[in-house]
Amino acid sequence: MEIKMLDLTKIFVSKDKKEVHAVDHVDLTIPSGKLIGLLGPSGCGKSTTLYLIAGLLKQNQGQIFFGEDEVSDMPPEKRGIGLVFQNYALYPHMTVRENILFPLENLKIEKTEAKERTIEMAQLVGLGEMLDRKPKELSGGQQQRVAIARALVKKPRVLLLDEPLSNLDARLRLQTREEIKRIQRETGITTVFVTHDQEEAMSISDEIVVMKDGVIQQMGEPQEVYDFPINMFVAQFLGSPQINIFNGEIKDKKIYANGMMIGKSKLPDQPIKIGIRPEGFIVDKEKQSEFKFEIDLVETIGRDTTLIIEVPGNEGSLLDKLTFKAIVDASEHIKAGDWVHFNIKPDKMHLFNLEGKLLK
Amino acid sequence: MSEVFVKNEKSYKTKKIISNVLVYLFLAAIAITILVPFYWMLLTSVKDAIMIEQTPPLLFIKPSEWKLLNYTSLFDLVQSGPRRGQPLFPFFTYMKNTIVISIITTIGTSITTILAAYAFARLNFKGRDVVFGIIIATMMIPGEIFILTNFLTVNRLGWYDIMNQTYMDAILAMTLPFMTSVFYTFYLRQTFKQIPNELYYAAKVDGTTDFKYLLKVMIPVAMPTIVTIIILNSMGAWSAYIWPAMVTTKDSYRLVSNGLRGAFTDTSTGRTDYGQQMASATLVTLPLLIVFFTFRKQIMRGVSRSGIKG
Amino acid sequence: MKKILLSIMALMVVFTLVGCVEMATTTTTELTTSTTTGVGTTTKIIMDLPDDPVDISFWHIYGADKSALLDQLIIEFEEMYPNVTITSTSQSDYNTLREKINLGISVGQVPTMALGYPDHFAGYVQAGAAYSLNNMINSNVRYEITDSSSSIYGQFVDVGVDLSDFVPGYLAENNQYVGGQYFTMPYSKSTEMMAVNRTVLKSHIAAIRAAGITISDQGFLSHTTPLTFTQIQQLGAIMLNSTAVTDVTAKKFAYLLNYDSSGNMFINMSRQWKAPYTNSAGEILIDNPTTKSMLNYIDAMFKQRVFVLPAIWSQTYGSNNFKYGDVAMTVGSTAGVLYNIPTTKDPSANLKFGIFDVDFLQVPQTATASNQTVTLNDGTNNYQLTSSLSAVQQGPNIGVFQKASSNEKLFAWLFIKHLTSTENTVRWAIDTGYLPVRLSAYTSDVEVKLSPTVSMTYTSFMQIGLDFWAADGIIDWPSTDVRRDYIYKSMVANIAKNQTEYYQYDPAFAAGSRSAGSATVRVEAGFCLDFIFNKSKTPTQALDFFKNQVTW
Repeated sequence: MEIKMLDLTKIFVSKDKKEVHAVDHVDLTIPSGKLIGLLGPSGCGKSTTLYLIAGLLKQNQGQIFFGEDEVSDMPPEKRGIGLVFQNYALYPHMTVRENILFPLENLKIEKTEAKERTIEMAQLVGLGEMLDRKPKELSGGQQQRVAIARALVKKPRVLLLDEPLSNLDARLRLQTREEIKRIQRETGITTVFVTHDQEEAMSISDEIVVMKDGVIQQMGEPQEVYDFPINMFVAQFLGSPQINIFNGEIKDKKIYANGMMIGKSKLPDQPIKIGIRPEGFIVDKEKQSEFKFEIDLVETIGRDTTLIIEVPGNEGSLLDKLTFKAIVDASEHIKAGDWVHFNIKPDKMHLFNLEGKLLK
Repeated sequence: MSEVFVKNEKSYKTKKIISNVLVYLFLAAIAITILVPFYWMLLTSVKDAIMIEQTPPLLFIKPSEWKLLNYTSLFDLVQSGPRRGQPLFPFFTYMKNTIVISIITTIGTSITTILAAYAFARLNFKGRDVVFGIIIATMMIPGEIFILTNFLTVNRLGWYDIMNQTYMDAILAMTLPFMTSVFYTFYLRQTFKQIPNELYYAAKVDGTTDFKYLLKVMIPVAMPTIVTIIILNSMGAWSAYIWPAMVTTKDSYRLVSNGLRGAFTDTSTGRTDYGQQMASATLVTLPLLIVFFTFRKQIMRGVSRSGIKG
Repeated sequence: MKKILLSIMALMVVFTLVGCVEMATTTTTELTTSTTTGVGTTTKIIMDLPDDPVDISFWHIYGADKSALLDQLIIEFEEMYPNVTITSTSQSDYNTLREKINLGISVGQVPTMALGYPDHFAGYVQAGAAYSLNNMINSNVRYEITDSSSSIYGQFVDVGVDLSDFVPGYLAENNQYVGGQYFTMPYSKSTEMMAVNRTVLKSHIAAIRAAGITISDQGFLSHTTPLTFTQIQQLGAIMLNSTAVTDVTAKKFAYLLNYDSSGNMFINMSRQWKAPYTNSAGEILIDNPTTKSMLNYIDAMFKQRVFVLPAIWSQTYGSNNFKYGDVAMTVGSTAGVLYNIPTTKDPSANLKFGIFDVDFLQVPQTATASNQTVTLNDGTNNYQLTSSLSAVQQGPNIGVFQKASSNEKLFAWLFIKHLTSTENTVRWAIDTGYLPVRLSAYTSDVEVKLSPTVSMTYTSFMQIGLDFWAADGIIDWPSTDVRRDYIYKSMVANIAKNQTEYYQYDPAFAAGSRSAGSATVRVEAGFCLDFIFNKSKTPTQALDFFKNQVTW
């Protein structure tokens, strides 16, 4: 089921009567049968968007379509959605079976069928053995799977997941992530997955949507967005460690970062911001490159070495420092205090104007 | 190093012992303060008039010396006059009234409290917080003030007609003003507020109505608090004194609390038959004790776990 | 939301009530009617008694024990007037009764008639809710009973009543209200008497006679002439031990004279000293030199162990310690007679003098007659005063409410007449231990059932005590003689009768803008003596404190 949002806007009025545009003229189409990661920092409007899709919040403007079906003014229960929350929102006094069964009680579904579907769903999420336990007797991951089963049991058109992994510890998070992916594949349901964790979003989603201040920044397949960020915000938000941003300029078709020439460009002369992914650094053993730093710290984990470089900031005070990270092969044997010359992989370098827009 | 460790261990142990001793002393002191009046009630109920007035007071009586007269005389019948054959102290009538009142007020209070608490905790309507604030503020008005207003209300409703008040009138008059409670509403609202919003959203998405959500989710989840409210409320009804005395016009409509106060005082001398009074007090307390011991687990759970984890 | 509305209503009601009170005080003067018509002298107007059904509600506080006779009296009344139904309801205690009526006044829900203390009725009168009985008392209407189903068919019933047959002290209490109206009639009255340990008195006969006090060979003091405080002090000199412990062998007591009620003690002593206390207008008059010297005298008597309060034994009443031999005499309510008699049921280890003989006397006075100049001496100081005989009268009265219809008022009044008729007041007195409210009770020849098997007239009941005294306590009545069961009650009835001549009442008034109501003043009067007794305040401090508590 394709989800289409047209000019969707949600305005909240805060206590001091200020209007906040939590979702600001959003036009977005979510393709049918895909798992979409809705990504952004907290307060970017991603959860609000999800709740607008769910119908738990009412938009101030715009329309929502599920396929051909306009659902803009439909109450949540009519929209045919399954919703999963960060804190699972299981009914604590009910067993797993009763929790999963609960949504079916409101639909006029035969008891035997309801029971079958409950068991089917429990098996789908791998909890067939735990039907008679109470939520507090389950681990966080199991609870989340119950929540998913409950969301899916009434066969919704759309599955919405609101930060479903945030309450889990690292190991469970990985497991559950895989589980969600598997379930989504098996059921083929259009799924919107809200998270603030870019790694999570990138690993699980078919496509990601990056949001900021209620506005969609970029949408696309994870790797594509990573490789071709449309602006500095997207570039900075995706990737760990973060992309390094240098102050620079283009002068006479040459690109300078921190005053050092690092490459060439056909763009006109202008001050710019240069984003270089940590993995975009190549150690220039010949020391031909102008682009060189004294290494402050070296961290080697496995086959990668992270070089940490501190340079004085714009303010010039002692404490004002900019930190850069470069990831190089561990075989380079670099020690703190060494001066290292770098070459830059061109596809790992992005040039932005001072407003953060990508320069092509 | 190891020596220091051992020393620390020792001082930790002594500290632990001292603190345990103090805690248990404190608990014992509290237990005694609670139990002594209770013991005294039981003791007095098996004393005869002379034993009661004895100085220094008898602190213990052998079971073989227990006087059960106080209990048996409670069920004495009036010997002559038009009330002949009726009990001198209509214990069972009072008891029945008290139980009826307790049940009605408790059901009434539970319903109004749950609905009000739900509205204040969950529903968004204009002026909700202002209204709630005003209602909370009424807690500061002493209850005695309401006696007059409630009395006027009950009278206007025609339930306090001293010439022909029916049993139904009396029951309504005794229960209606106590079918709401600001404090319990506040208490339950706090519990309701602790229930995560997501539970509500989840239920909404599944097409659950507000009322069904209240019934199927909120009430079961807040059950410990509701049980506490039910217990406190029925205890309150059990010991209500002034109001039932004010709005009942016939002796046969009264509650045990009223009966206990009036029945055993000699009106001409003002002297009270403490033995009988304590015997009937014991009989009145008994049902509460039975209820407590039967539902001890539930009650303790209700009182100790009124918070809910999300 | 409801509660807010209600609290606003509460405020409104409070204001309306204030309005009512003011109106009442301004309109009551109107109620004053002519009281010139004598009863019995004028010709009677004969009328037919209304025969429409009348429902009368009567509120009291009597438990099942006392209401048995009351119920019987009601049935008899209903047989006399078949169109009348009386619903009598116990409101369990006086506070509840008063509160319910006060609340009821605000909504017009009051019974037809109710029992109440004078200060309760003072409040009802102030609120304009009580009905003046003067019209009834002075009525010259005579009804003929024409209903053949009545038990008094064919007889005549007078509405008016001859007040001269009522005990004057009670009447004075009942017409102390505005304009000398009778808003109530006396009903369940009692007084105070003094119980003495006759056995020990007898062992001191020689010393007592030497002091000039008349005492019989068997230890009886005068039952017609009260003891004076001077004589009490003389008895103290004879019967008090040098320390506050009873010496059984020397037959000397730790304390001499106990007063159960410190409130009554203060009030009655004030009357005896002619010390101003309060008046019906609600003025508090205690700040005067006579009251001060009275308190000093009482203080000295406390210190000499001549007077004592039950607080010394952590008791409310002194009767137990009187039985135990800690005190020689005790002043208490006539209704509590039997509490003072030691019996085999008492733990014998506690009875220091064993089972001793008890006699009853009038309460002690400043002099044996009123208006004499008396000097009391506490051992160091002299106190000059003019004497006045006084004994406390207490107990509730009965009255009718304004709200009732004229028929209800009429039959409520006839019911009061029924309850206080000579025969019924005697029945009530013997059954409950209260005192008859009519003088004719003492000469009545109506046989009253004392027990299922025994009946006698009040006169013969009274005669039991008189005979016992006349025989100097040595009676040869067979052990089966029923008279033996009524000796103490009869003695007390005689003592009470002798005191009726000098009953003085405690003026009743509701709380006003400047001072507390009479009930509060009485309580504070008791505290005043309690403070002096437990030495927490000097007489001056205690009186100042008292004054501050009741005036503002």
